[in-house]
Amino acid sequence: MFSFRKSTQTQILFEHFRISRNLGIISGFLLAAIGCSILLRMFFMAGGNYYWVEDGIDVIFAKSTVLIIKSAAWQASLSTLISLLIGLSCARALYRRNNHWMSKIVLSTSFLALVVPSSVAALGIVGVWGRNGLLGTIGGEMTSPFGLWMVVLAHAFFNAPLVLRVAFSSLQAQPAYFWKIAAQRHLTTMQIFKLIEWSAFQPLILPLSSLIFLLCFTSFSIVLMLGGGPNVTTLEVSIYHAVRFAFDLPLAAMLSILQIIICSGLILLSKPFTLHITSPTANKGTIVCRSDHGNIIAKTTDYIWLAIFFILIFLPLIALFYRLDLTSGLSLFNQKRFWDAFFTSTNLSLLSALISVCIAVILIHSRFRLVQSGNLILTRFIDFSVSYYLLMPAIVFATGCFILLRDFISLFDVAFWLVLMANILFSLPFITRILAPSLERVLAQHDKLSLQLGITGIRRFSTLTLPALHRELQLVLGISFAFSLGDLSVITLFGSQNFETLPFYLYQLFSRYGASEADMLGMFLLVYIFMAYLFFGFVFWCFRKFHTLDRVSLLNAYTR
Amino acid sequence: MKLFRLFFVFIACAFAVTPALAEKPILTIYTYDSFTSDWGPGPAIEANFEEVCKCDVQFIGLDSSIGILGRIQLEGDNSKADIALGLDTNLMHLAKQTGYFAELPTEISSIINKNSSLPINFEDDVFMPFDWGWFGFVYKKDLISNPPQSFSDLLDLPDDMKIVIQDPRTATPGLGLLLWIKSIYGEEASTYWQQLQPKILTVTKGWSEAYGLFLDGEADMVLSYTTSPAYHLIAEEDDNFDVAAFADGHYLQIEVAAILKNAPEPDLAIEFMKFISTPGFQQVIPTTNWMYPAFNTELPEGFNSLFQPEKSHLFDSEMVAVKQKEWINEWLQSSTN
Repeated sequence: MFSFRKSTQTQILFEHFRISRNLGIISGFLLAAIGCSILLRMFFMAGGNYYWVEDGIDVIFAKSTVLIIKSAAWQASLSTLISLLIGLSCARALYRRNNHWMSKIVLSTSFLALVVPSSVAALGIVGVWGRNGLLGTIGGEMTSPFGLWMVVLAHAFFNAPLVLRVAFSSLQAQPAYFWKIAAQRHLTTMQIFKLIEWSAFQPLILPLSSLIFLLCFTSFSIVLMLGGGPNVTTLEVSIYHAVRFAFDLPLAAMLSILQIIICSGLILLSKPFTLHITSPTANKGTIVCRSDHGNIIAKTTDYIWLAIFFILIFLPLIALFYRLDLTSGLSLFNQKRFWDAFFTSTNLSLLSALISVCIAVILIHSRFRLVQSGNLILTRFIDFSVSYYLLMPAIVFATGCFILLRDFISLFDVAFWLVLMANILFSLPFITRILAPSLERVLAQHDKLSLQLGITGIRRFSTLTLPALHRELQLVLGISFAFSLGDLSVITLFGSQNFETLPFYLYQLFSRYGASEADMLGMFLLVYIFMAYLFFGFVFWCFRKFHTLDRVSLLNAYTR
Repeated sequence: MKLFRLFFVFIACAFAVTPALAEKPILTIYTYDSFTSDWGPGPAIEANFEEVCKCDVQFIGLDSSIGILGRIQLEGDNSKADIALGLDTNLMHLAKQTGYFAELPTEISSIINKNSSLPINFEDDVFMPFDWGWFGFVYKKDLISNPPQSFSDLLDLPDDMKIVIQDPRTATPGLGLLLWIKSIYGEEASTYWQQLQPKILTVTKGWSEAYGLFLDGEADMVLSYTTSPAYHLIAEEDDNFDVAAFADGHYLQIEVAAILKNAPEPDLAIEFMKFISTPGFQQVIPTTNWMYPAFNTELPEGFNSLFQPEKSHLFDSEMVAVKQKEWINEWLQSSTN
């Protein structure tokens, strides 16, 4: 056993982890290079065909562009407002009810809502609110299955659970004595709200609302499926139209740049990504004692909010089951198109999940080592290269790929690889965010041990890091698998009957409307994602079983 | 190392899907989705032509008709397609301007002149007509007893009656409606569109989505063709469907096909173009694509009872090429209020 002095420690670290550092720097550089070259090409495209400044500005201030932005901003504001209102109220209601099982159920459903593919969610929402939907048959008929309100409902479906989770954990983080004092002083509901709850929510509101606004402002597949014509649109949908139908690449480039400017402006102003999205745990059911817990008004409002949450989030998922017509739905599995799409999607999602998790692991390793050796510039660079893809919308990326590569190769031949690349790049920011904290912790814990025992490189990763991280890896693999399996963005540009993924096929079936195959496929996608998640868990379980033995014998051998 | 072994198994699985090798020459035809569907003309035409040509015909169904042109432009010179089938006369000039289409041999032009059964004189050196029809709004007789007889009647429909139309940026029927209204209302067209807004349930990307919505009962009227009722009459023996006869006249659509300049199989493509004028193609059209055939073929029973408008509208395709962007913007602005 030996211990090294501080200065030599840095030096040894510097010597030791050269490979893992450089791998990360290289991949970070690649990521940034791909993103920047696409953006630059777009600039030149726009600059080349227009007399850059004047005509570019003309496009930005053209009446049609202003209308698009107006429509998107209105829709996004409405969605944000409704998601916030429902999310915060429900978090408050759930916390006040202080019921273990209820909070457990609501929180786990809200997690489910975060991973449901948007195409499946759209199906469920029409299943609830459409003319022939669940509520439609009961009598709560909406005038149209398409349009602004459907889009807003769908966005609330995705974002209200997010708000709920963040707000709930923020309420939980309030010190318990706050509640005690409130109870001692017999504060009214209003006073409690003002003094405790609002102060818990307040720091969340700006970052949350700007994040949701951003998501809805750039929304693509929901607007494409539920928007119903030019009335409800976003810049992304217009870019898709400009590329796919009008073949107006300069216009697409201008709109893309406009979108990036608006989004980065919003991000810089409100910094939504500083938000810590922790996973809240269910109420224990004992800690909190609130004076207004038994209040009849409080009780009613709480249950009303929870009922709204139920209708909004639960019902679309239930509608999928409810509407399932087995006799005609099963014919889905006789279709060759379905199986082709199934295999394409499976290949795509498996490859993209594995590759993106590998890249994420490499990047986090490298970033960790860079922080250790105090290299701030490169650390920031790696952060930037990943976060870049949060800012760039997928359809803009695909458009850029088109413009960049169409002179060299036939893009439709390599469509699979393009979609794969897009899936990897766009799931990276999410999975690095989820994986980074635990991976860094494990790395820090194992550093001394592994240096002492000389277990390094891939051996260290497979014997020490992997078994310790199996749960997190299962989660990120599952998430990125679900992400690629449900993604309906880039594929809309490249897809045809000869190259389809499951969500693209679902979109086609959904457009036919009323096809019971669509409901079946929606269900299938959900079950498939769930099974894949279990499968990854199983793989890690086997792996862990094998390696715990290995690890024990290894430690024995070294410490003897 | 088990994980790595597993990883390689995954990769191997990923590459396991290999395309089947075909020895016969392949003729690739881009068309819209309903053409290639099981109940569309695609399968029968494919079988009929493969009998003659000893080749493998591959229809590729794209999501909408204007999407065909968009796809060809996106692929540029690298396009795998030999033939684009499913554009219409409105788009002919625009399509020619892209420079991706080849001229037809003169023998085919003479076939068009001699045998065509089109309602107008059709002359073009690039495009081959394959069917035609009039646009019209289809409704169910038991739901609407008093159908609108003009565009202004359409505005007077009760508030809960909804129509579904197609997007003029993506589908030829949508573009057809835009031109139809333009041709009747001229400068007033944008006002008319604004008034029509409350009646429109949704604007779909392609024809089949719109018709599906209509059949499903979500909409009461759909923009389709005057020949659509024949489908219900012949295939479903259901005479409940009819088309609203507009006194202002109906807009004509002639659907066309063309060969691509960089077609991998140009000779086969020309063979197919000739085949279009033969019964092997034309006889399939009325009862699968539910349009009038472009070349002399006997019409099946049921087509005779169809409504035939007295007045037809049709813009010159050069005019459309010049004005299309402006008119679409006008439409966009009057529908985004």
